[in-house]
Amino acid sequence: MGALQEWVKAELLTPRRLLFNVLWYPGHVAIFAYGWYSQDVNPGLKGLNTLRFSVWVSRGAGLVLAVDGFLILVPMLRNIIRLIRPKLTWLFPADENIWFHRQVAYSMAFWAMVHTTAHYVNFINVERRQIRPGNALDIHYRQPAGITGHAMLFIMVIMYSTAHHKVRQQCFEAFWYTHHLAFFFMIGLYTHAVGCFVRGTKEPGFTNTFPFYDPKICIGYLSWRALIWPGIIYFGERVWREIRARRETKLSKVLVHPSGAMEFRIVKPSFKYTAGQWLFFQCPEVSKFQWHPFTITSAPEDPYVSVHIRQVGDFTRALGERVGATPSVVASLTQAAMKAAEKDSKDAGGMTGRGDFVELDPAAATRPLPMIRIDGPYGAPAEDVFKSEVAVLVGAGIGVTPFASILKHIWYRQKRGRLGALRRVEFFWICRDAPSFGWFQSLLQEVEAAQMDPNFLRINLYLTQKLDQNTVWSIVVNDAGAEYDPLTLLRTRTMYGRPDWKSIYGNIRSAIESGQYLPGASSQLKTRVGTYFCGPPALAKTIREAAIEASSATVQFTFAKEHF
Amino acid sequence: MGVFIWHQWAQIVGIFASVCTIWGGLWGIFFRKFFWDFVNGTLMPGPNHAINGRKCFDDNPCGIVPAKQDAIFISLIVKAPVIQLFVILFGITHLAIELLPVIRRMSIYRSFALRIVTYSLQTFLSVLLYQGTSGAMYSFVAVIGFTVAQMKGEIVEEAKEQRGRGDKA
Repeated sequence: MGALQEWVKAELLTPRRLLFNVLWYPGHVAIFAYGWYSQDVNPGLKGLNTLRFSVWVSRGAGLVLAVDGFLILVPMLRNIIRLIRPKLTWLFPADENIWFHRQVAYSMAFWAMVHTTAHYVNFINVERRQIRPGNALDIHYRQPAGITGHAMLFIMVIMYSTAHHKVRQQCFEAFWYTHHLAFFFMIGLYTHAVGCFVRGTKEPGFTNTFPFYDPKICIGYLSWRALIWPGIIYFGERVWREIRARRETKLSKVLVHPSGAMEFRIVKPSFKYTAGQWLFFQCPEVSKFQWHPFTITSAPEDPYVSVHIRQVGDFTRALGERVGATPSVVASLTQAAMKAAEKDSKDAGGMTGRGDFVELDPAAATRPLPMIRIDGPYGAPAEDVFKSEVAVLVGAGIGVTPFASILKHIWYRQKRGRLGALRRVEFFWICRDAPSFGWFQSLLQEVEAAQMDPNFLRINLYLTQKLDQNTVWSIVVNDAGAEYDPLTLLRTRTMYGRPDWKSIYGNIRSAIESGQYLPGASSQLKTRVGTYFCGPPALAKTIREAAIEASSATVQFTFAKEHF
Repeated sequence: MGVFIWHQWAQIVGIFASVCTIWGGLWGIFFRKFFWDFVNGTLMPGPNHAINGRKCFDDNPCGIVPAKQDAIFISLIVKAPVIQLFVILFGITHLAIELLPVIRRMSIYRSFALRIVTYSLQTFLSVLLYQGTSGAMYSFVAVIGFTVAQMKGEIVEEAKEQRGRGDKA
């Protein structure tokens, strides 16, 4: 019962998902019904219609597959989506393109099953009744429709099985390379009907000129005329991405942070981006064809593009090895930093930091820095932040990374006095174990130290992991009376446990309404409090509910989830 | 780069192949046809012809009349859907092995040799059916996957027991 209730809640009670479900599934059934109907009433296809249900089903499903074959590539047109999306945010609240791609793929699998099953019945009946000369095997394995159809099914088995999340997460390369079989799949899809199966005559009507069949005799849907466009555009996009990636790119610096994260500072004059976006990163010396996504951590005002890379996967480890940030280097760095921190805190007892980052000196290394390429930017720009008076930025876990760029960007604009409507920023960082994001802490430290107005940026840290007794006592002993938080070395105190969003939003609202929060804000105007969240979906839901519940006549709370 | 775990992939392909095989087997009960009947068989050019004493009419279609030496397959597939039922049985068994949580704790779940044999049998039986060729092909891909897994000496991890982590932080 619990599972059913959850399903109902996820699929039917979420308005946007409900809208999708209502349009998507009945839409497919309607297209299927139209394909069925148009086959049934076509006087030119009388001969085929003697096959009755199986041919009606196969033609209906065929039309659905044509539509899905068009849709499957649309969410993958990344560059076009990046241009169009900001104008259509009401329709696509976030980067849901992969999710949509998957829905189309599931739909294709189902309708391919229907289409193929119906054709197995069609062909056996063609053979038995000889409404056309030849046997079923010929149609299956000697005619273009059969050959391309079976090939496409086989490609689907390979592509779907390696795209399964288990395989994809274990070995991304297997998924990435096999997914390029899509090229052959699409060729198969465009040529599926050239064999002229859908015809009224006994013999197919082939010609010697493109498209090599007579459209008067071969009266299929001629769907390739529409289907081919997303394919051409996608191909063009891939070529364009390759050209763009080859533009001058220089890896200017590699910094190793004590927490083990490597910061790559890249100079690429042709690369324009806004805060909160991400890029594809390639290092041909490590892997010739692989592109890996990373969040941009520099602000657009910075003279370089930076990404922070932690050595957690095989690619990132190999990359670390290549630039000379081997585990032993990182370990000695971390130890040195910890020793220094201990010593400093004994001597000065004040602001110490976690040890500074170390720049890897290319002159000292035996090899120069590797050539790298970047492609992008992709993802939603976070410019909306400047449209609301109060921005609540919530980063959970690894979802905190885009806020590095956003916070820096806000800081730059603050310096220049170009904050737009923005008056205050509440930054929430919810994290299981903060130390693994040491580099982010040091960035926060800088941002915090640079604040001129103590009320502008407020940092709220929540540590959700369970702590053992020793740590708890250590915190209790070190926290009392110290100027900086013992765990994060920020002025802001770390809070332990999960944040209570209802009371947080309630407090913000009452503070705004009483006029303390935004001095000088006129009460006639509606105050906009925008929440920008990046992190796991379950938390997004909780926060969204709390934010919307807190809205009142004078304070409007909005919520945006970003898949950075 | 990322280690490709062959048996993990072969299991996914195997599940898919088994679903295809069951589906093909079911349809094979209603439209009974020996896939290889074209070998030495004769195609009836149309209704009202007679070959080997069989006559085809509009209401009694026949298509390819198989050769006499294929009689064993005809009796096992066309006269009685024996192979169809076996194929469905194999498919269901495979789905059970791959998907049922109960079996995850048994040793058969961890055996590649067993799977190589059973998926090969599924391939062999399924390829006899007109509707079974796709399922047979995918089953064969699964066999390849499990064989590579066996040769590489991959090991199926034992199912983790569902235990809370208690006081461990």
